[in-house]
Amino acid sequence: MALMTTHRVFVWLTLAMLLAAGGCTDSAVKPPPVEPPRDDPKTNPTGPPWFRDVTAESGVQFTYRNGEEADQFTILESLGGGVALIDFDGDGKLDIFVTGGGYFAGPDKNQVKGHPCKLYRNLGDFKFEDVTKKVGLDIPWWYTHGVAVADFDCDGWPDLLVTGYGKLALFYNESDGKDGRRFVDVTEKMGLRDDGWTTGAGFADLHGSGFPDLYVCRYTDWSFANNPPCAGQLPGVKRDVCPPHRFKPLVHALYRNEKGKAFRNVSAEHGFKAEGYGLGVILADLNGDGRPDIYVTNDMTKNFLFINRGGKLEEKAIPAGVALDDAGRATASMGVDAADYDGAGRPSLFITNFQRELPSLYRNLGQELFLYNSSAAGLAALARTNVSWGTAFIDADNDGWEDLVIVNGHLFRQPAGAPLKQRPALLHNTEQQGRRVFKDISAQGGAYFQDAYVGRGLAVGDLNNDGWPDLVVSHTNSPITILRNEAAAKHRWLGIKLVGKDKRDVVGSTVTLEGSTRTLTRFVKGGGSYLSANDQRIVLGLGSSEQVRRVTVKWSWGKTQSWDNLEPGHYYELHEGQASAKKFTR
Amino acid sequence: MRLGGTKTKIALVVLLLAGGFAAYWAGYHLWGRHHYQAAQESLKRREFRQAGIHLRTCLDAWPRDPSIRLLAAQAARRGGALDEAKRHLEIHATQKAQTDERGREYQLLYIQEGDLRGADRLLDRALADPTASEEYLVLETIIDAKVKLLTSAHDSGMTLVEGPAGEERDRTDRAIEVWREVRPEKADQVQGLVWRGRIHLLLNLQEAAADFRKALELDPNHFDARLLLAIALAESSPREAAGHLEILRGREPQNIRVSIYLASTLRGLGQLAEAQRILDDVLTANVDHSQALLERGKTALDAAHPDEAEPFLRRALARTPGEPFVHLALSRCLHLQGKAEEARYHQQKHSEIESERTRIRQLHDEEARIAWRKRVEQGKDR
Repeated sequence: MALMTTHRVFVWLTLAMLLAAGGCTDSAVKPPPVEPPRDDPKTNPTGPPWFRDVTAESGVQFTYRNGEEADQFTILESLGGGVALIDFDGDGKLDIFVTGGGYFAGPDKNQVKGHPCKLYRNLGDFKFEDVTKKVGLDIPWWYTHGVAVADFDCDGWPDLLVTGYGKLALFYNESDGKDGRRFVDVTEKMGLRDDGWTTGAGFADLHGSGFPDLYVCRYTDWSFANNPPCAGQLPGVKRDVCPPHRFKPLVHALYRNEKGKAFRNVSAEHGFKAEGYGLGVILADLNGDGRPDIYVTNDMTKNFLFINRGGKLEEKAIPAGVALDDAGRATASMGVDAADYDGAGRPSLFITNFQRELPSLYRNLGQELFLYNSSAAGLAALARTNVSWGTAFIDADNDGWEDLVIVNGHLFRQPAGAPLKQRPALLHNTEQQGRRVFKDISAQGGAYFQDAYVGRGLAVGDLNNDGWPDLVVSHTNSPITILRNEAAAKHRWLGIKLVGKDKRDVVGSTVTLEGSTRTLTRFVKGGGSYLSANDQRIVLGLGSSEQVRRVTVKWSWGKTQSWDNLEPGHYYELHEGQASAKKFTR
Repeated sequence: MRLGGTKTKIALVVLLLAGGFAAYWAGYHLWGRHHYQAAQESLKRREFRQAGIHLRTCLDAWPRDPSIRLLAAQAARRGGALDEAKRHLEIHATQKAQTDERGREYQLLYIQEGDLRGADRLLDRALADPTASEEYLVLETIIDAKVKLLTSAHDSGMTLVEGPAGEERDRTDRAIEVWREVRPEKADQVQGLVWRGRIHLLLNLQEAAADFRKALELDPNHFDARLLLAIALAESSPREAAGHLEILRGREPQNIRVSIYLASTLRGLGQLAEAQRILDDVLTANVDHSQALLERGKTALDAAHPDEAEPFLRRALARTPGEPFVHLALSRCLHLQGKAEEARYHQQKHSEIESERTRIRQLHDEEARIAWRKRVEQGKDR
């Protein structure tokens, strides 16, 4: 017994000594984990860049200015400006119109003034000349934001609508009597008087008259008499720009086009109410009934979807599932585009939003039902520090799948948790687990996509008619950028321009290309992006092997017409009622 | 001779017993000493629960030692075991010991419970001479309490940029900087960075992420720092955030919170199959976990499989009928299946619950702001 006790004592003693001598520790030494790679779009580009900044040699030197140097911290400074791609002179090359913004004058710096807008004529090969004065647009401008393009009187020449604070103006594109063109302000004559604050705008023939009607987004009731100070977002920042909810929203405007002779405000007839801080609008056939519908993005308030019931508008954003995000919240929505991103043949909606919100992708399921699909499409991989504005579906590599471009930049001068200048994003539409997802390939986008800007307006168009869509971006207080598409993919394409009988407006029409393996569906849209106007032509990417069997157009007035055997690598004019397509190349 | 032999044997046995007892006694105290040292090491690493285990062993050896009892109370409190800390302090009160040390420990315990009376006075004293003995305990407790206070201010809609909450933030920032100057040990530096990061998390996610990254450079196995880094990165770099959550899930596969957070992040990245697999794992072990059911239903919805989503969402609703997001998800799910009437009902329920919650939240926020100011005033009570 004693021996056993002695033995136990020794065991204890030895154990204690060993433990003490060993200086044992409690925490089992865990090996450090392998750190996950950091997200950095500057890394890992593969192959040559898809876009090249050609601004410096283009002859376009222009900056949208918001007047922040007056330190008035007005909400007016936050919206920025837009870009329109418009072939104003009919030479087959897209010209560039840019809005100028404004400033605050007077002894108290409380008089709202405008910087000039500019029109740059396309000379070819990405060279442009300033023709603002030549075309009669060297006028006293107001504080401008957005621009929309349409041939409002169906004379075959595209006209310009410019929005902004205190004035909305329609410029008629007419002959200058010397074989050139000029713009004449016909706002008053056409009955378009609006002294409120207008932002995004878009045209489409909603009433089936052949003439495009006009939807104009309106923002808030801000004025210098209603300009409260708002605290900054960061410690030590006493004042910054106010968010919109400090003001009341304005009623949006719908103008009916009276056969190109006048516009009549029919907002009240359609029951419009002051329910949204309007910023963006797109008009396209969203429910497949052949008529153009209207989708409106509102800042911090629910978005609108007006389904066109033969000229009567039915607002059904909530039942269609496109008013709010998947948490039932109204997002701060800015830019918008629509496209068949998933090959379903229906236009889905993509909306850019504020910091801490995902961009909203509403997948069109048909029957006026949409599924909020941002997460499933991989869009949560984007930084939610971004405040996003101009956007466009663009088949950047002509593989037949619509990619996305988004431009970003904060609206607060000193934002919290995010930089003022933000990188744009280029997202490639790829297949993953049997679904279409958007993969951030900004690293592939070229030098422009590696730097940060205060981005706002974005317009897409084929500036050199090579079948590869180019980009023009407006930034606040820094020069606009022209990006030439040089995607290396050896993919083919087919360009289409629709021409309605008597030059009637074609927005709302749908183009279907039957290929050897796929059917591509594209839509003629009014408005879109943010404060900007895109090329109205359609480019269909064909990948490397797709054959063109038939192109079918469903005109927005109900007729359908097909063309066979169109040759890839060219633009065609498809005229309503004409059996043969008119080829026009560079 | 025989008698002498017996005596010798008895003497030997006595000697052996005495020697054995002495050895046992010595060993036991050595064992206690070992645990005391191990406890000190654990405290240095800020592993308070582990320290508590060692100190309990020490107390078996030296149950009447007031200094170990006090240390055990501190370790328990610092590890969040406030009831255990109180029990140690009650025993400490029965022992002959310095009362002011126990008084301070009680005060720190009350601060940790949320009663900030006199906290600012203690903090001022600690800041005036932060290297003085045991002042680090005061700094640590008050910084931690103030980080929680700032979080509650932020949650109730107060700005941390200026005003009373801004002043509190300034003061807490200063205290954290002092802590980082006077506590060079690695674990304390990590703790300082985690506190600072948590304040940045309320204001500036980039700076928050930078702090948590620095903390992880010092201690790559710090669970909280990695989880907080994932939270800070969720908006700016969700792919990297998912990577950190994968690491945490590898470390703690049973941690439901981490698993669901990871699944949600992967769903956001469009990795629906991976998200589904993780959620199915969670639901295998926790059949009725409402958050996992909701997330699983939303994953099926994202995949445009409303028929698959519906049973998950109905089960989630049965568990949490007052949760508006379950109603909303079920409404979307039913809507997509053409069950318009029931979809409208759940849409309506979502709106009603949300409106009611907003109303209550506004009331609560106002009350919280009043209570917050009162607590700050209490803290200033000298």
